[in-house]
Amino acid sequence: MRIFWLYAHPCPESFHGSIRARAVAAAERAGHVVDMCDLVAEGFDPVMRAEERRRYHDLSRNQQGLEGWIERINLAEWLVCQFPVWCFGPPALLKGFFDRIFLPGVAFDLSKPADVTSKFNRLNRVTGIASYGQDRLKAFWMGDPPRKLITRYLAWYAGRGARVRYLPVYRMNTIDQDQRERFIRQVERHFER
Amino acid sequence: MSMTARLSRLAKRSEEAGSPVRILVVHAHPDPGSFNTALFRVTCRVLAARGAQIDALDLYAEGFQPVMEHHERRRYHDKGDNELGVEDLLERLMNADGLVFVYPTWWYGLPAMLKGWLDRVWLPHRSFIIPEPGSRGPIRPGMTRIRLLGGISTYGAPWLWTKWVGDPGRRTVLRGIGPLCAPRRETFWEGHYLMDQSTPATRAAFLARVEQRLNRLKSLR
Repeated sequence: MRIFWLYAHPCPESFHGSIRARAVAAAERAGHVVDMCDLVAEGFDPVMRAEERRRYHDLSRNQQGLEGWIERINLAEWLVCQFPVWCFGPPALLKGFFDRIFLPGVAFDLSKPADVTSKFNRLNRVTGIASYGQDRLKAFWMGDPPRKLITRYLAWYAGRGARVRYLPVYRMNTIDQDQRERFIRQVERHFER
Repeated sequence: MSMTARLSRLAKRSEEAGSPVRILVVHAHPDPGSFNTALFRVTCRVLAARGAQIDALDLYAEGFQPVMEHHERRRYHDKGDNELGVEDLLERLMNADGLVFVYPTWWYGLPAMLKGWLDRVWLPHRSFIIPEPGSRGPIRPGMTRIRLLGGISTYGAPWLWTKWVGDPGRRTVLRGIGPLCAPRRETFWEGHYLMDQSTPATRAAFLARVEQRLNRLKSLR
């Protein structure tokens, strides 16, 4: 499958850097094609400016300057989002990707406001890989926004029958090396299948 | 907390009892002519009229940069060093008795601009205290001065859809940030849903509702 991999961690030497290297290798061993979109390395600016906001609903102009990313995500059959959870959600860098790229006419059809439909027709698999400082119970109590980003929001784009999987690791500040290794193995197995 | 620390905190509080309540109103919308920015202005005006001292933080107007860079991430856990570059914004936050968010909900959550303010300005050792590696203790609050917490937002989605996705913006503020604030705090939330189908009448009604809500807040009495 063709994978579009959204990655949003600023430090290459981080735990996320290790997860990414081994998970991509596992996906490629299984025959998948990975298009890595490292938002930091690509210098993505997550802030939607005034001019962009004003033309947001104008289908003839709202893609200006964003064509490259739009073209790549349109090719995706499998969308992977890998990010650290900061202050209860995805980093601003990743949130801004949805703000700016998931546009009317690109990601969804808003011509009938009462019946909005997804435009990502090829997409039928979604995976989230997220690391939390807090524990699972806390995340659950506050509604776990990063999990719902994957399992409800992105799942909607992938449509009915899509395979959606969320792979979280909790208590990042206190877990040990063995627990980290176990998590990476779990992610590898997910992509080997 | 030791007894002396407790006493000095009590003394400080009574000294401040006569001073006005300071409210930080945080706003993030790119278009100054938007309905959302109108909500921001009304919020500041109504709260000021109730005697609060307002610190109006318009992140777009102030040119805030929401992306945490790698060098900042590397010193994120280092007490003191992690404040470099955001000292002023952190002081404005630490001086607040109340915190009110006014923003458009984009994709069920905070705009990147506002999310980045949380990422970069809400820091360990100040806003919250992270347990040492190896211990299993919980993250502890650092913003116990804040006793009023609320939000006003505009949503493209209908109410029911917003709830199904979990209303991440509201929960991030009330349940995520909330526990980092004073244990006994007043909270509120107001939302205008289905913005794409809104009319001048629905917007005027929402403005009036917001004004009423702000006028009812108990912590400003």
